[in-house]
Amino acid sequence: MYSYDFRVTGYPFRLYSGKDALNSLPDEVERNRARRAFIVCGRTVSRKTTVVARMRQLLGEQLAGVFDEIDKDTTRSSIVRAVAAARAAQADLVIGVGAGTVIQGARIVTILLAEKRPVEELVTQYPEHGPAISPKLPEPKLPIINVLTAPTTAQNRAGSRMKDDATARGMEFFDPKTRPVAIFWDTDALLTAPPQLIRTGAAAIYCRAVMNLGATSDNPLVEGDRLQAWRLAAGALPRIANAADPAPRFELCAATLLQNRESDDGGSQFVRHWPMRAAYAFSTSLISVFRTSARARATAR
Amino acid sequence: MGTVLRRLGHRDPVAMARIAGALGLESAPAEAPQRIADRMEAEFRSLGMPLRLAELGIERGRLPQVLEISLRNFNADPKREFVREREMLGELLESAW
Repeated sequence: MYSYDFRVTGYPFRLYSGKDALNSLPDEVERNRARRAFIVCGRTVSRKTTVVARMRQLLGEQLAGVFDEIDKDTTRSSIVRAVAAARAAQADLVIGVGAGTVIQGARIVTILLAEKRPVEELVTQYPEHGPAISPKLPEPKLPIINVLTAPTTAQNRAGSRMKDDATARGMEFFDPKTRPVAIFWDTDALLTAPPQLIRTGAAAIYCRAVMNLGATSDNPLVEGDRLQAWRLAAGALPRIANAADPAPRFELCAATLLQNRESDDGGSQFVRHWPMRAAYAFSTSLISVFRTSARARATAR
Repeated sequence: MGTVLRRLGHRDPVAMARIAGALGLESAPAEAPQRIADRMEAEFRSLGMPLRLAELGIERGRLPQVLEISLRNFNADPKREFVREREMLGELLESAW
């Protein structure tokens, strides 16, 4: 039985997918009337793959600079340095290249470039009793293009998170104006991610897809996306070990996009039955504790 | 995920039945969480993925810290029900370890 009480929100973006999809990047920058694109990424994708070098070549004079030191926790210090570099380069468009944390980092860079208040006034607040409060971030943002190296639901969402270096506290931002104007699923870029990263991401995507099948109140728009997201994730899972095969990576990109579309079409980002709620809370907490421990061990060494 | 499904699935029998149905798992409603958990664990095991928290290198002594952070997850718990379930959720984490 369908529920007819729902709200749909649409956000325009262009998606370029396939072999040599990145060749359309210069036209996309031009379409957004940008002349000084700025790449934000991590060290590995920049220094151990050819993706960024290829983008430099493609963009030529359209590229104003590259900041390639966003770390895997999206630390505040790395974001602050990226903002300074983008400002010095007079960036008029930001290109995030990477997986979820870098894509979120690119969003925060555009927020901090534009907003004038202190960071602490921009982040979501969590009162002890009551719902979270995300401050309105009114300033216009630079357009964002996301180039994925791994499937992620972060590809076209508006939320982002960085970690404060001093306190290890997560700082979350929400700004619909940081949704991307374009997304690229390029074969060579997607093949740069190591199988272990893809495997972890695939398991999370599959898990969410299965749990979302338990939704008990669908509006007529979302059921197809939900089922197809699950079919794609389940079909990709057994094939991801083949590091040379881009197909399951594309299918997982599609699954995550459909999961986001379900949410925008009035469904849920994740369905709130008890097993999913507990698993989600535990997993996000484990990531936080585990990463903090790992960094402490690395620092001690 | 398997531990959570087995322990909490009975609280949402309609949702569990829908998942089991979509996965093609024929079962009595009470058995649905178990069947779903078995299926998902088989998928993860085939990928060589760990099924227990201990296999991830999580220290058992850190579980209380994990629990405390979990209790404050607004996205998972918008009605703040977790605080009332602290003991059960703590036991669940121990079971998953």
